[in-house]
Amino acid sequence: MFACIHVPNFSGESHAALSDCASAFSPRVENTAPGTVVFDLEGLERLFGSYSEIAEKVAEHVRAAGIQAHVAVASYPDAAISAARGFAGVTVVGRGTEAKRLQDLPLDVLAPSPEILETLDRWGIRTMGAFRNLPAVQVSERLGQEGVRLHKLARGAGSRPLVPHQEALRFMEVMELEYELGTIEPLTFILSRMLDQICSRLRARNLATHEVHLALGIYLRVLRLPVPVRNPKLLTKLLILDLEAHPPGAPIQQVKVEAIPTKPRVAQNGLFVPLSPEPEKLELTLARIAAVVGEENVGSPETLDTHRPDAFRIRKFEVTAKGFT
Amino acid sequence: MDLGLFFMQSVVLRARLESALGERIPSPFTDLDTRIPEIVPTGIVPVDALTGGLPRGAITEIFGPPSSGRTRAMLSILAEATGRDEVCALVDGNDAFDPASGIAADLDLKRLLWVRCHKLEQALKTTDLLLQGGGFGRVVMDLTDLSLSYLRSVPLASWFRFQRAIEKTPTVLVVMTPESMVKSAAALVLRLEMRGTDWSTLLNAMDVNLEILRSRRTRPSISKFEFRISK
Repeated sequence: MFACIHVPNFSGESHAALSDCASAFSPRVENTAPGTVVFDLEGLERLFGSYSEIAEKVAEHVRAAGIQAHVAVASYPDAAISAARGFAGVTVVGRGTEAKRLQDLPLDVLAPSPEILETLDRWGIRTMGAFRNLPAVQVSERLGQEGVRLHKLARGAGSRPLVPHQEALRFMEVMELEYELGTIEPLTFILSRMLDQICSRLRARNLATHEVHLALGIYLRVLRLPVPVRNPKLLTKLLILDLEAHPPGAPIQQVKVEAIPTKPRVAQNGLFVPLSPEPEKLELTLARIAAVVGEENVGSPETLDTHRPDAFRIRKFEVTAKGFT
Repeated sequence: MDLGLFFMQSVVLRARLESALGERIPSPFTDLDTRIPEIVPTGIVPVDALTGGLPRGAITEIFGPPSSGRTRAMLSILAEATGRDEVCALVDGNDAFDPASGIAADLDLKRLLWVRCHKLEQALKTTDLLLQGGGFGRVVMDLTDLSLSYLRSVPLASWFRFQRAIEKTPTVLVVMTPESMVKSAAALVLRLEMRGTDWSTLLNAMDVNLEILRSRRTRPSISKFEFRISK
């Protein structure tokens, strides 16, 4: 069974709240349209009782969030959507009774395209019941695939899998400081705490990061890593070394760290693979050396294709999957 | 005392000591000197034939006056290592390395980390960081262009610290100096000296005299010999 929460006259501001209300009941929530969410009720009977009780509890939860919405429960998502759009308050449509319950509803609840709605209106078809009685083959010939889909919905045969909405994962920590920081050193403890949190969240999802964005008020630094890592100590050290090389130049009042998630590095070392530094350690070593000799004095030399004698440039020394660049 | 009982007690005592020392000293009863160090070639055939090569996990010092073949030896060592897909680091004491010369010596620059230092302190600190970081096949410290008075100010303890840092690693630390500095911290000390040159219009070849001043691994049959470096 599926439940739908529909906000009539949707303003556009409360959709996130609507999504939160649905997420309070089920992890499988589909953001069908602005102001309309559908979610799976499978297995909730043990927690909340019958479907009528679940629908009442959902309606109560939505009301508590300050949203005026209709709630409907049906055996498939589109029937729940149509019922929520067509009936005010709380509606429970029993399994197998969808076509009968929805037959008097106007065709608008199916959200057809304006052209099809106009065509059906000219034919004198204004309710789902009337549309359901039309022969399917002729509907297909005259209205095409869209017409066939709407006809199936009107007949109560439009079952489809739910497309759950997955919230974009953001690994971000923000800290407002009670007093301004004028030096980098005290920031170590703050960054270490924040990165500990972020890395434990990354670890819980089997992710790592290859890019860390640090915002100290309006001062921004981006730390790009050649390999994905989730070691908070390493990230803290690299950020501090980077800040020492590029100090913010103003007291720090707010610290915001965001790690861009990526899949972790999976490496299988071989017995006969030539000696090479571990990428994470190498990154830290390079940052430390850069702090000693300057960023422009450490790297891999590359001769330039020019007539200028002895022309070369220094490239960032890094380990890649195939070799070293 | 019964000999068998004494033997048993000594075995138990040894096991207790090994357990107490744990990970800090993995093999306290193994004589370090009895371990045979792995050696790697220098890329110069006559030198390898006589010295056996450069010992891993130890310091090799190569010194000599200017135009004695020091740079050529350094490039050969690096080229040989990068040719085996190992990663190398060059700590350039006075920013004197020429990448074009490296390419001419078959050095794969993509596998070379070049650190351009301008002070002796930078070179020492950088070498320390590289050795602590680990994973490099060869770390070459080129201190040949630095003033001797500066070099003499490097305390011997620094070299021993480097020696301890690489002791149980496969890294080869090569120190290039104008005169011997590393002393007893080095496992192999080679002295280079030019004996003569062969010119047409350009320099064709150079005869170099190589002297083995210290070799912990082997006692070479001859300690001094001459070889030719040609184009």
